[in-house]
Amino acid sequence: MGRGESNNKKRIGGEEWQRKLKDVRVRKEDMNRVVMNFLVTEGYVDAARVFERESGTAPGVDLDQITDRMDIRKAVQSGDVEQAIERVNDLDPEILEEQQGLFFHLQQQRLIELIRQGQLQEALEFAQEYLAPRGEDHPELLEELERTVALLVFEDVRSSPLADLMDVAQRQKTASELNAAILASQSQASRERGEAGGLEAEPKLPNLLKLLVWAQKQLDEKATYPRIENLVTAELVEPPPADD
Amino acid sequence: MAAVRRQQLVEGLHSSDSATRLQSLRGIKNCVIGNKRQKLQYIQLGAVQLVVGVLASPAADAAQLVQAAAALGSFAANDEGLQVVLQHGGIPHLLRVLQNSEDSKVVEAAARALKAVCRSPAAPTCEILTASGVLLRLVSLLDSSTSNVADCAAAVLACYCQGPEEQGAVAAAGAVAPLVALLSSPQRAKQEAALEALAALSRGNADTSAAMLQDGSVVSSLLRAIKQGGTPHTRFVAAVCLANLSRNLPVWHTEHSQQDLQQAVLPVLVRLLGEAELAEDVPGALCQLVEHSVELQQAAADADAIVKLAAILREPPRPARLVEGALRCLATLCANREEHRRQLVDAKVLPQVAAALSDTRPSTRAAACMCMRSLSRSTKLLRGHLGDVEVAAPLLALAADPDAEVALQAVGTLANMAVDFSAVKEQLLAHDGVARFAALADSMQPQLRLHGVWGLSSVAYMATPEVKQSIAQQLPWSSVVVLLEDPEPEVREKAMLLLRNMLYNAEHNIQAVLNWSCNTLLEAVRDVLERSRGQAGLKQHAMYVVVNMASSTAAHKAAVMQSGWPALLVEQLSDGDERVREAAVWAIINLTWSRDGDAEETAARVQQLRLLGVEEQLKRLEHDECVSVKERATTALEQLRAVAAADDEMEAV
Repeated sequence: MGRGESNNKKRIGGEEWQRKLKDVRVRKEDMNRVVMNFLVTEGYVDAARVFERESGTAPGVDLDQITDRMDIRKAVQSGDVEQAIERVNDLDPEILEEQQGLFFHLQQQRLIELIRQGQLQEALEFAQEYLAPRGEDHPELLEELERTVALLVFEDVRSSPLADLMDVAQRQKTASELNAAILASQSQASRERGEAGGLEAEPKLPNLLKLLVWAQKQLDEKATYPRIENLVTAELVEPPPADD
Repeated sequence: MAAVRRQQLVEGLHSSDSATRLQSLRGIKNCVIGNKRQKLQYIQLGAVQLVVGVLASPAADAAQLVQAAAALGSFAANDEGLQVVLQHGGIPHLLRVLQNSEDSKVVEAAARALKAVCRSPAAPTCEILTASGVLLRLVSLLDSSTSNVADCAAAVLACYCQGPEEQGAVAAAGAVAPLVALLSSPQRAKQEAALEALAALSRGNADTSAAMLQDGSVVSSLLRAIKQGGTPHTRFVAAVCLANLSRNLPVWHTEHSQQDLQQAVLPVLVRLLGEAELAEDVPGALCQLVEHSVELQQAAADADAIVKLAAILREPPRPARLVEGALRCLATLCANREEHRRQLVDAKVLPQVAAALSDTRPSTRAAACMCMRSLSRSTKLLRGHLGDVEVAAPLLALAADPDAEVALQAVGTLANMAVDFSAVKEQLLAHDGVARFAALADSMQPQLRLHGVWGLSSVAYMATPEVKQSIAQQLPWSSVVVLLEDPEPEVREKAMLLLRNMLYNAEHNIQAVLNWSCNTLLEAVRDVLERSRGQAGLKQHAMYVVVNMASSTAAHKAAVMQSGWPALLVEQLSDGDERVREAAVWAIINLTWSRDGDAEETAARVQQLRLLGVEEQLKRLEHDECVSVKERATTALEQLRAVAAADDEMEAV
């Protein structure tokens, strides 16, 4: 950053900044809801219970159900898709009965896990019995299906063009999709307009922090001001004193 | 391998060991959920019957009942499966479990399974739920706090509300209060299920609507839901529900007026039209809301509904039902107001509406046709834009549609488009429109006949001799005679209008019509006139046939004088309708007017008319309440006296 440039910037000192911050009223209830949203979506049941008791913020879902949802997510993340499917069906059979795309992704994941474990014979049978017929009933899944079944062709899948399917990120993706579907089936009505349901698959907090970082970057071009450099401490760092 | 496992699971259902049975039930359930092929495979192995057996068994424990009910629900979620479930009498057992069990998990599973059954369009829902006590049980479950039991019960009740009888039964079972209470549930799924049920319950039913309105909070709950509903779907269902109630407000409900409620619903529906993920028939609901109210139509147009509906037509892949709804709604909004038609044309969707006339779905074709009919009422559009799109050929095809309603809309539109100044008239003639109208004029269906003759009469107006000739060729005189005697007064009137337009304005036209009728025209028209008391429109057209002939050559005038018409004309001078009186005076003026040196014949005609007392009648008309009758009567009298005076002079000489 050149000197001449920085001279053109407005300088906002610590006191002025604090005053301006005070002008912005953020309701405490809203802050609490963001925190609760994070705890619930990420599955911190015990923390959510304590927070509910202490802050009086409604969790928005039945906390008992969170345990189920978290267990199911963990099952997919650890590669036990069959277990996850059984648990979802116990929770609410309508989810997989209705959401064919989601169900397909779970079966796809199951095939991937069989291949990962080197159970090629089982994988082949599974593909023939459960995956192949889906293409006929759901033409929209056909392309993805072909790609998945092609996994069986490669000797070393990890160095094939389909390596991405074998990646842990694929497990995460499947787990998130299932998590979102369960949340949607349980979620509570939102009083806020335009918000689809009380809970999304992702907590709102990380996004708010991203917004904060983005806003600071935008502001850096126009002014110097007390910045938050460390998101964990949220400490305001005073700008260096002006040259003149 | 898989086949072996299936076999094992099914055999497991026979096992005497209850743990094995439970495991098998659970295994089968997990195989069939979401999987059509697996369902069919297990059906073939006879699994459904065995699962029903578990539900029916008094020995089955709660865990088994839960798995059996879930498996049954999954089988019933597809049509083949449902049929097998019905065949093996699975439903009565499911209902018994639902009604008798006190285990919340069992009740949950049974309610979910029943919802799966009733959601199938193939399910005999009404028959199933009419079983004794079922409705009461479902209503009692609306209070349940177990997971989604209340939503399932509400969903089942919604499926049941298919007609007034079922709606009445649901209300009588006490469903209204708990459903309204569910509207304030913090859980979105419960709110939505309750809204769906209330919408189904109030659909076209004044009694159940009144029952709902007994609950003071229902309207405010719905007003909140149309604004703050979490999803577009929620807002839509709430809007439909509120619209239902607004149509059947009981007199004692003074808190909200029909207008207030409908004005509240309208902007919500219009806004929903613009939702990207629009899945419901919002256009259809909007159409229903505004169809009987010009103010609401105006309000909808002011809120940009026409532009949004046009966008639905313009941006392809939309579900067919939506396109149909949009066309219907546009038809309603454009039925009366020229500025609305203008908006539709400005939105550049005329080609899409025209293309929809040839859609593969009959109901979409019908909707497009209604829309075209609304547009064809605009003389401006007829003169201009409608001529730019291909409409005559598809409309003519629709005129032969097996659906009488569609055919009628098409023919009505065509008749509008046949008028003289229409830019579509050329297209119509090029596609054998005359022959098609003539064929329709022969139809057994009175409305089709009417529009066929109407179309022909429009085509004939100011037409070239060639077009008139083709009309005479396509419609034999014998058919004209039949049409003039049609049982429907409107058909008779349009047939007479056709004759009037056919001989309008030129001697050669008159001669052509005389030839067409083998010189029986005057007799035929006279017979009709004598039989048509009180039909002023028809009489007027008939009179102008004679007025036209009386303005023609001496020979044509002579034909009028020799046909029994003079006495009839004098009689019409005292008709109750001023248009008929005026036409009669015109005929007298024409008959007493001398041209081409026919003074002698004119004198003879005047003489004949005077003997019939025409002077006294005309003198009376000089005091007529209608100004133009009065003025014409004076003219006629002057002309009559001039001829008589000239005649007297001649005699004196």
